[in-house]
Amino acid sequence: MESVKTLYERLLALPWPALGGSIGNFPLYESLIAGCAHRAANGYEVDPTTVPRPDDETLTAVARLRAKPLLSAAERAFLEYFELTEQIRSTLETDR
Amino acid sequence: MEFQVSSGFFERMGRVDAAHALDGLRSREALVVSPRGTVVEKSVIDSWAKGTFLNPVDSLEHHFAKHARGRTRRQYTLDALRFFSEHKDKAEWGRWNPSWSEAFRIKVGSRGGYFTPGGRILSYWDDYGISKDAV
Repeated sequence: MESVKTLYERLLALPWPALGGSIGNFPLYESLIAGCAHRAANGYEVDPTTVPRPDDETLTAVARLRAKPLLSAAERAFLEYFELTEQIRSTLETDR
Repeated sequence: MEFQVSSGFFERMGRVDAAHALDGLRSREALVVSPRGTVVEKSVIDSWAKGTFLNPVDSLEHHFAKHARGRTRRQYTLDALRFFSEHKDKAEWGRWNPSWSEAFRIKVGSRGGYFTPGGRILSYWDDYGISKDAV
């Protein structure tokens, strides 16, 4: 399992997806999860019970995208970015 | 005049990027040295909320890395504040994430942002530097 530090570095290296701003409140969720990951990556404690979860609008949009048989490049890029934020969330919730 | 520097000051100064430092000095404003050695005007830092980051500098650095696309920290921050100011009438007040307190949300076309009640930036994105053909 990758460390939060490695995952956060991957998140930093991944370009912001073009669809990011138009899906639910994903930009706020991304900001909140990135802040927690940044803290953990720098050795600060993050209370697993305070790790943010995606909002319902984002989850609905993600479920719709995952169900699509064919994805555009922008949709694939968004899902890749979202999966990484979810990997970070899962690690923060279980790894501490 | 005597003054005290904060812990880690000299370590941070050792990492100062000279080009950014000169930009900051030219602005004749109070400057802040980020943990990564970036020199930023205090007024720029003061425009940011820390969100879940340790401090507003870290928050700025993350959003700058994601959304600035060639702008300076100052330009990116001013664009966010200008956006807030110009579209305040479209701001929606609400709880946009179950783990976070209420905030202003503004979405206008491909631009958007989340702002605290005091107008500090939680996140801001736009299409600066993106070719219209690419969208």
